[in-house]
Amino acid sequence: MTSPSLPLELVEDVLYKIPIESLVRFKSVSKNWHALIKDKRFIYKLLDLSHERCILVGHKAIQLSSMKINNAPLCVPAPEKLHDYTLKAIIHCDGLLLCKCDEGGEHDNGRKLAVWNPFVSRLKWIEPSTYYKYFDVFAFGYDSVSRDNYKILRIDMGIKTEIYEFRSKLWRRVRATVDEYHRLCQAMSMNGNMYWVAQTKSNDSKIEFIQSFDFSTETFKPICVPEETDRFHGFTVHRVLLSGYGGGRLSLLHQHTHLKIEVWVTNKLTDGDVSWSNYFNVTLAHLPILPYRNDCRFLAYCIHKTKKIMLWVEEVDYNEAYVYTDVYVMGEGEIDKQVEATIRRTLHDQSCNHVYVPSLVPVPD
Amino acid sequence: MSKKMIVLKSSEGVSFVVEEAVARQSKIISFLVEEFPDRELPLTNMTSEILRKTIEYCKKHVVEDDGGGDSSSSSSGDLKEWDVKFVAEIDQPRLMDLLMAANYLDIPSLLDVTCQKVADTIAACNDEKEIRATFNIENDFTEEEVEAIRMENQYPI
Repeated sequence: MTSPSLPLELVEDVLYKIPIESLVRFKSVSKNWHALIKDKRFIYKLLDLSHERCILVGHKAIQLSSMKINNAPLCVPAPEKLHDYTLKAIIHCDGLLLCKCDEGGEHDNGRKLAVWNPFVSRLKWIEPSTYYKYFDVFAFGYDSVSRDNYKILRIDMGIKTEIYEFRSKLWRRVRATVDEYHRLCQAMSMNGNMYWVAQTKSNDSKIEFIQSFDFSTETFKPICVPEETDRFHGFTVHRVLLSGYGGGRLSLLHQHTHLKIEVWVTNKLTDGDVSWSNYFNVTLAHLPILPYRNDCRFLAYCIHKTKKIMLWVEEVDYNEAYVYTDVYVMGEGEIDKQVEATIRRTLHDQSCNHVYVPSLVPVPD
Repeated sequence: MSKKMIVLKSSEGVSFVVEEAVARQSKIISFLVEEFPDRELPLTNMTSEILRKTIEYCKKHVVEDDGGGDSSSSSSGDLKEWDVKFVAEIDQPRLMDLLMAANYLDIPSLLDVTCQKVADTIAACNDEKEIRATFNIENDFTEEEVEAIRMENQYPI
């Protein structure tokens, strides 16, 4: 007995429920399927229905956490033209990866910027107005008028701020400025705008806040971070990690002691004023202390399910000379699982951990 | 007070007597009941078998409104498990019929679980040929077009 074939409008409903990494290979089922999977409306609806996941981006391949918590991460190879570069930083927006690449050596023209979508197998170099510098800070997003006209903000500290638009393929100067001592870190894209964990000094102590850049108004705006709920006296650490949650909210992970990790979420950012609420805490006698290094690419987390986070932590084994990523799944009362499936690589294989939503959004030609 | 019953008639002309609250999970039936009270509702494109399955699903999912607040017959966790089992027991052709019935009768939760099951089946297929065979889809591509799509899925050299 043959099955009745699915009407196209039902095919669409079904395809929204298929993990994006599988969808690409279904383009050749039929002309209808092909047209649907390449349709801009379908691509963006699918993206809006997708959840945050953890990604490890290297110059040879990416690893993406599986939708199913116990499955091994998915590996997708990188294009050959990326193999000769070191990845210094990545920023993610709508499944597109903005990669700060470095050829090595002292030459300023050895620095490049790429926009890459591993799931549509396309990478494009973004030419600079003047050569990229080591301390350049980038933001990646879109304005509220046209989502697919992606924009890149480049802050050449103390010299200029400029914006590149995908549509015009040009850089133009903008007036917005930011205090160069704020150390913008952990760039996180949400609703087209960019959010960083930033630091300011007050009475010799560092105070964290969220710096935001609005691509519609082209202005910076600071946002407070939540206060720690109960101050622990004694041995304390101080880790702050930024992530996104449920399309439209920011999430923040705080660790102050080895006893507790706090997970905070904001209201919907489109609601106007940002307010934080404590989503849940991981409390356990011996939590792993999140490592601290001078950049932020070695840690990433996403809220995986209701009151559960997946946390990727890069560790270095100096004796054996390799780097590996530990995968933790943490629930309210416990670490549910420390998946042993570590991702190993050599010390020279620099990679970036990030929160990521895979998509079929095309990279512009 | 006795519960109000309505009659649904399958394509074979078989009548099913169902509690109105059960049948009203279908937005279409809900609408028809209000427009045509006390009438038999003919569902000419649904076989008795599929109609029986649909009613079985609706009976399980009905939220009884006896004034006691949340008195759904099962907890949401149990219900999810039941759903998974419900669609797992149905073979492929009937699953497609049930999906289309859910779509036609406008029962969002049934549409959701049947779509999910079909999505899982598709994702488990090894290649496009297996999908075409399973879902009776005609290959309308020329060899050149297939090659073009293969190139689309690779990095340009």
